[in-house]
Amino acid sequence: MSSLPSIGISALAYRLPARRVGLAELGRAGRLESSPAMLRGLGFRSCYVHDERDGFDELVLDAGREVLRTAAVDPGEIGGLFLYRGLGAWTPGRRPGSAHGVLPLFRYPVARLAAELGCPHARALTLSEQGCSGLFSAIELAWAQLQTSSPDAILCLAADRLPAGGQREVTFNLMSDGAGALLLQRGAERNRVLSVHQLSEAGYWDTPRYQHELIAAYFPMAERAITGALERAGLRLADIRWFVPANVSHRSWTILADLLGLPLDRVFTDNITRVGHTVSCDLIINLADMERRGLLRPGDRLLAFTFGFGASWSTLILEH
Amino acid sequence: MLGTELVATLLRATDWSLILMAHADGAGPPADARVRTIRGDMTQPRLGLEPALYRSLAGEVDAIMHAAASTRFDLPLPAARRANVTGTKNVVRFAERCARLERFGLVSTAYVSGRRTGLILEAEREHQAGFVNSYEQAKYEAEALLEMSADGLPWTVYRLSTLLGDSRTGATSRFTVPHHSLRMMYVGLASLVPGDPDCPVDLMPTDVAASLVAELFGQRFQPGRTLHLVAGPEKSLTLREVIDHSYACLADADPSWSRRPHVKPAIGSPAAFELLVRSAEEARSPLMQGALGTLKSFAGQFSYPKTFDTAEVRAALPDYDRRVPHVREYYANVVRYCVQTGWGRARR
Repeated sequence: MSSLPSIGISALAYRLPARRVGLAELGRAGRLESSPAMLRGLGFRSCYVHDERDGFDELVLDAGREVLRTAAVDPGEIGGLFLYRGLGAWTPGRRPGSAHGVLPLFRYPVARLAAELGCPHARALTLSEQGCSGLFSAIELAWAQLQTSSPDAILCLAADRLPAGGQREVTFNLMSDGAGALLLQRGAERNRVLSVHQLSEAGYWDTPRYQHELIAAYFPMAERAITGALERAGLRLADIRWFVPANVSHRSWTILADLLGLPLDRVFTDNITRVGHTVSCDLIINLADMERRGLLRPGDRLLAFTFGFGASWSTLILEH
Repeated sequence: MLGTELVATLLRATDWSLILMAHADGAGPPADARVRTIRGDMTQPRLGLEPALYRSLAGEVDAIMHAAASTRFDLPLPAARRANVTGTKNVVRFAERCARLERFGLVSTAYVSGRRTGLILEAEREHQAGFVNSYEQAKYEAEALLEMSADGLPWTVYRLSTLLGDSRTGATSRFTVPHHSLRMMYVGLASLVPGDPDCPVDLMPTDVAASLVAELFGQRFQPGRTLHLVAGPEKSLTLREVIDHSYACLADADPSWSRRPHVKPAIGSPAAFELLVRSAEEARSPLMQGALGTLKSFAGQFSYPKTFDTAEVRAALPDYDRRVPHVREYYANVVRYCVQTGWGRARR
């Protein structure tokens, strides 16, 4: 019997920008690389685009506040706050024009978020440069810390927005801006973390240069990551009730499911059409919606999978 | 591939004079006093020859080896038939005019068996299982044509495995689909191969195939037989093993290559592969279409595991098993040749 404490995701919440844009409009605006018809064929319909006039910080803070409220945790007791952002297009709390001297460089957005959320004693860290895998790494770090040291709860925030007015498609995936939060808590019986596993290949670091090799490597590495994760956890595919996907194309999930021998109806693909893919929040968006819709029963085992440029293929196995 | 090696082997092994019919646009064979080359076109009536030459040759030859074919797997069926069925029909017509003819050899492929699985006997041809590509179907039809129309002709069919290159040097006169598939692995674009991971991948070195055909045709000819010249499962690797061995051989052939990640392809269902092909086409990605297209017309066989019976050929050649090497004995040479020549782009 394991002596390690039960650590689970006790609360999660996400926020999407108010503006939802369809493929046709994006196509007319020249913000897609592929045709709208092609992306529609891959399963996408619309995405959420942040408006420059609105503060993106508020989305992150709102998600964080909801999580703290839902978990009924004293924010002052939060021992760690990990922020993951995969892109540099948004920096929380950055004031324009703050260019003089070195000291402004030490104005840390993650610390500001911790302060605004009422978590002044949290160890605040920002993780980055893992593409769409970064939240999984944040969860793994939080899980490891909760197993062995004093904090009882670590708040993980994830937030990304693409450059304003720019392309909304990345390698045949329609991208949304979004923010999310989840609380990893010692003693939580819900969404217990069973394992986190990542296959990394830093040789693909130059994404534009190696994009075709990455496309080729995606499926074999995904298969390997998932089957490896199941083996390490002592589980079989049949033990997993739901796959929680990164919201990459429905087509790619069809291929991957076939490779794994996985019935596609065990992959929660509903948000691919509605939201598309966010850099960092798909796990939170999908898990929150699955809970809200009553799809999950106690004891259900869930396997979340994502790929991140850099590159890494990441899995997270939970027990609801 | 086979033709050049076969000519050289026949010249060594016999005292025959050879008349080579080469395509008008093709390169000629090396000069030899016993070799005469004529330019023709087997897809045309009278083999594209002037009537007088046609008649003169018919009176002269006493052996015909029909090894000419288009071995492209991706031709539309009409084009494959033009090269391989019409060509055979015209060669058979010529053979019927050769009053002195003692032997007629047809080089075919073991994959006239198409989508059949299980044990394939040498004496079997007819089936309803369908074909993976137009080459298989055209060669099947060529064999059928030979059987039906060559009454009285002393024919033997040699059904070859997939040829890779010289067993000693790895050299090949032409880079074919297996070589291009290897190149896709080398450049990191091999994503998914359709098939059964445990399917044996039957491969044969060109020089060994040529040596076997030359001896069977030249010294041990027996009419009315069909022979499988294949490696067999005990001398073959499975699909998964071929992939693993390819990556190991690539790393040996180019140590700098292994400093970057090169992910082995997944082995999946034909349905998953077709979906990936379709995605590449819809995305209009020439690179991915090219990479997947290399496999499209060839890899289908990996979903139809089969064993080719070799009882007849082993009866004809008692040392057959000893002469056919395990693919592990020479595969690294082929890989090295491909890498060192840049798949033919660089001069050796």
